[in-house]
Amino acid sequence: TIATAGWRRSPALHFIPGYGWYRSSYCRVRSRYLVTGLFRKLHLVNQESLKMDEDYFAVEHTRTKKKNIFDDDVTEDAVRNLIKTSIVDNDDISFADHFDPGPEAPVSQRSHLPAPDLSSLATPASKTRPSVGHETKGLSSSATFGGASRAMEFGQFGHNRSHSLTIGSDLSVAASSPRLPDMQFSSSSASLQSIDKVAAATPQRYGQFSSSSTSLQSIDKVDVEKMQQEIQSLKRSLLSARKDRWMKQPVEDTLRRILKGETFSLEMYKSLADKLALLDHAIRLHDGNAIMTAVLFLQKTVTRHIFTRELVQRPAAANHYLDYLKAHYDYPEYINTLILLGRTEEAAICKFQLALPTSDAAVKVSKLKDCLRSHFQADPALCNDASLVQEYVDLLERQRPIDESDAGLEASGRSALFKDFPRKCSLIDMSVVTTLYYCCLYHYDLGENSLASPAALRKRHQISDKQFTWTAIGARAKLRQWKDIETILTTKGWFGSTKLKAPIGFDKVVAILHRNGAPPDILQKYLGMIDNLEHRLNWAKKVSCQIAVIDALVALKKRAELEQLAAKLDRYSKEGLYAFDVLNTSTIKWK
Amino acid sequence: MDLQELSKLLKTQLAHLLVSIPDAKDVVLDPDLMKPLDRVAGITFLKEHGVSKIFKLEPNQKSLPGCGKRVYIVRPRLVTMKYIADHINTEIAKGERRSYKIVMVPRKLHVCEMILESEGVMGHITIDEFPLELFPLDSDLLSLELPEFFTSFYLDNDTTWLHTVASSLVNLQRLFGRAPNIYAIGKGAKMVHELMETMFETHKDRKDKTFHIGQIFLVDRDIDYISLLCSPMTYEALLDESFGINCGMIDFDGEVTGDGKGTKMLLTSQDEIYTQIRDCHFSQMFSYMRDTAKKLQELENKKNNLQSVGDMRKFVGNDLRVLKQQQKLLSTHISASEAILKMKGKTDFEDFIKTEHNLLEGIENKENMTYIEDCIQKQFSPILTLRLMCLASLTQEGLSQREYKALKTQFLHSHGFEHLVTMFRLKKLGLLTEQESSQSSMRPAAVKVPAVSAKKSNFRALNRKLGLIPNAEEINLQHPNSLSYVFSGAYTPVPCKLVEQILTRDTLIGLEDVGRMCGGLYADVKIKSQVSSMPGPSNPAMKVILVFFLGGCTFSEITALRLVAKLHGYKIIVATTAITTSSRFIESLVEKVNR
Repeated sequence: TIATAGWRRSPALHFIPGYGWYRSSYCRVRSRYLVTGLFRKLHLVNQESLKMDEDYFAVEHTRTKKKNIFDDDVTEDAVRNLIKTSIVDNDDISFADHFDPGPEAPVSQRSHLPAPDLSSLATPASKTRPSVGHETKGLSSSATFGGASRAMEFGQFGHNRSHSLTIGSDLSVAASSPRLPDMQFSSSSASLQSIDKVAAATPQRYGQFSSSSTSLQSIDKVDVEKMQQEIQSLKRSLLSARKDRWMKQPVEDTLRRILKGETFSLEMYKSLADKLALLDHAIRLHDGNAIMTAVLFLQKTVTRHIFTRELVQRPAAANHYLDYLKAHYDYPEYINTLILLGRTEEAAICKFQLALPTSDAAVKVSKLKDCLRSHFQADPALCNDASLVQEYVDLLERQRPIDESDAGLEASGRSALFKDFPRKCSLIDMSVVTTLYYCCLYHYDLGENSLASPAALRKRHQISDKQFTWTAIGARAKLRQWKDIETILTTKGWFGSTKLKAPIGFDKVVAILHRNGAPPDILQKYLGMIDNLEHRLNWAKKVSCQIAVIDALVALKKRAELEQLAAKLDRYSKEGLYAFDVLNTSTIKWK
Repeated sequence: MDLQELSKLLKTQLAHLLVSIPDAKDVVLDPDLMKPLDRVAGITFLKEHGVSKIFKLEPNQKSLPGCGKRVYIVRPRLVTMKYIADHINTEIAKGERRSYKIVMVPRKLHVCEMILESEGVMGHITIDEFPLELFPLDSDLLSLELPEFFTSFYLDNDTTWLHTVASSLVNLQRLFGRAPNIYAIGKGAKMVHELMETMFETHKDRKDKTFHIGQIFLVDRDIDYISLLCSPMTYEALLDESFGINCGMIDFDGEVTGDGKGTKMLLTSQDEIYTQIRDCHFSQMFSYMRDTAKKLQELENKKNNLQSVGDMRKFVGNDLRVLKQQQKLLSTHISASEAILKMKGKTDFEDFIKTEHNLLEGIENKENMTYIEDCIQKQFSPILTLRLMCLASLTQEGLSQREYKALKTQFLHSHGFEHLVTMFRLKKLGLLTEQESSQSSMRPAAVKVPAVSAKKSNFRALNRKLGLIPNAEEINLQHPNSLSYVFSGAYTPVPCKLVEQILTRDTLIGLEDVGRMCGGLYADVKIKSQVSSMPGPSNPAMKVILVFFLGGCTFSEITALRLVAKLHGYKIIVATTAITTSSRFIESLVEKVNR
């Protein structure tokens, strides 16, 4: 039944390794098996965890048919019997003490955790007293009750039904449960087989303890009175402790529970001051989970008006609330909150972002227009972005008819252009530059008043000369329309003269042409336009245009290098002839 | 002190979690946790602990087949919870009976429980946690493998993961002793420190005051974005940039290995050759590899000089195996370096790096801008282009308004208007900003984004104070003496420089200005380490340093810290929320649209 033990262990897993958790899980484990009064004191200390145990055991109780010491029908004698059997479990747990090699020095703990001291029940009362005092030292809240002997309390269990403690649970549960802290702490990798070891070791101790506990009867009358006194006070504190469950806990305590992943309740924080104290304290802790918990609690329990008022004053809380809304896909509220916080740019961007995944261009356009109207144009600080969004709208509105008619044209198969260079994908939602390329490729010759005209696109989006040159040359080179490239690069000079000018530099023109497989004479023409001679030579070599290399060498007056080159060339090829021709020309002044 | 202890602990915890469910069970894994879990435990480990089938959690699954017990091991995200709730509800509607357990890694969140409650599945499930926090990737490297930390904390100002960082440090110190000295650099670092103190408050101090880590540095990512954006120059960083190292694993495709099938490799200090070359500047790599090849050749020559049968047996038994293995490793590393060179050749690497270095030096501004514009106009890789744009903005402490507008518009024209969102994010983080003008300061104060970040770059002042860009002549790439060698001497990562400064000065005096520029420099020092002039036995653990990067670090920075350790005789362990590269970093901020 190791497995069932594991399921039960699960709540305890919240207790991340730590002394506090360690101790409380300790207590819980013990409380299940030990029936000593001291343990009830422990419960008072660890009130909350007790509550958990109750829930927890309520389930277990129905499943395991164990005798419950708090049942009404359990007589005092029966209790004594039960105590005897319970000692087995007790032993079991004290073994867990050894078993647990955690860094919290279990040996010292045992001195104030009374588990092993059950055996002292057998000793005369006079001896018991000091030892009890000693034992309770470590438990601050229970120290006041320390004087009385505990034996008497066993008789009183019938009255205190609050803890439905089962005893005599199966060993494996007992053995595996205390292993939890071990799991968390030990650096050694304890294997599961050790559970068996624990179980095996248990019976050996059984005898020792049971023999000592049989002498329970030898308890003084004096002690009985003292015990009864203690029981009264214990009852009182238990009662108040139970009330505490329904009382407001300090926010610090609740937040500590949240921080550790324990169960907690916020319902007692009724006043606004409490709610805000919780939130402010959570913010001071810097734990997002705690802040989120406090924010959502506030949001659920106060009016929207108050909530937003308080949120606006706490940027950290607001940020977490926003993250929650985003993760929850609650965008209307997200955007509203951003606007309330005065973060209009973020709100606009978010609205814009929401329109992006729309696949239908018409719907997208209307969403973008809406976003433009209600956000970007509403804030003068966003005018730059507004004009960009407007461009986006215009671009989409341009792309739609072009795409529609071109798709039809392509499908009909009547256009040679589309046959030779089929479209890779729909034009819709391509970027401005890609659209420009597309228009230069398929609609280069259209007039400026046509939608698909590159010139119209250029005008609308104020595309720079440089950008236009890059893209148009690329597109025309792809179609091997070398003439167009010359037209693009031609500028009108003074008095109607023309000259070639490349805003991107002729080296880049050459690179584009080379990439598109331009013939040598075209390359040569533009290579010659590169002003820097060394640069020109490099590029000529790079695109392996020999004539241009020769020209560059001539311009650089590097005869030696030219001779080397000429030697390598085929004497009767075009380049070879040219090279020798140049070498034989007497008009060139070599270095 | 062995970081593998952490691995063992995690394994035990995982085993416990799995055996707590009796009989066979299926496991559904969050895709984000696949690699980390593989590294910590491995599939066989899961199988050994009663896992029969392993599924990957994907958005479109309506339900899953499998046996009657199912465990979800997932990150605590709202959308993941919704998927799980959908599974459960569909399966219940179909009449399938199953027990469900949801294990949230590293901890459960209130909002997640809330979603599960509101989806009505609370009664059918149990919730558990698996504190998979820091785990070792190498003998000096720990990671949370939580890349979303960066966007979550710095972009959205969400402090949820700070808890994980703090708790991982608390648990680490519980294992290795509480470090006496803690330095926090940056706002987030300070928060983590405070949270850590709160967590320590709730339990008693250990009696045992021994510690294995002497000093902890918590460093915020936002103190230095520049080092994230610089091109890597050392081998390990280049490998990560070119192929991607995921949890210490690298995937080489068939082209690299040359045999067409590719190979997977674990890159740790256990690979001797790798340990030698990982921190090498790329220009020095080949000489190292040549030397190693020579050594291996010598070893191989030994087989020709074997005199006796005994020698031969010894050779075959020991050397031969090692030899074969080393030869294989070496050849993989050589072909990987060749592949890197080839990739660099394809992009316009020389001009790119020249622009990058000029930007850092603050020279030839006009040419730099022209180069960036060219990159945009020829629709060169948007990620690389953005890298240069951000670098330009950071080094100039904001672009002029004209430049900003021009670059932004052109970038949007070139790569799509959706990047309006990208630009906003970069602006919010302070990566790509425009200089304040009188016009924009007229806006009401409330409009300002209240944020952890949104801060101005302090590059110039920091550079002046810390000397981040050394003289080119002083750089020795073969035997590095300056941290800047990781970027060919062009830049020194601020976090590494600060760690070095604080360690060698042993005081924060004189660093006040720097601290202010980094968003705060806080120290909690309990043991003043001996001033070097005072001889005497000091605790050797004081020489063990943990540097924790909030928001991720690059291998370049790890390499720089290894150099700090080497130069000053420390042992430095690097912990990080995730290991990143400039490309991955920018990509996490780029708006992607599914068209």
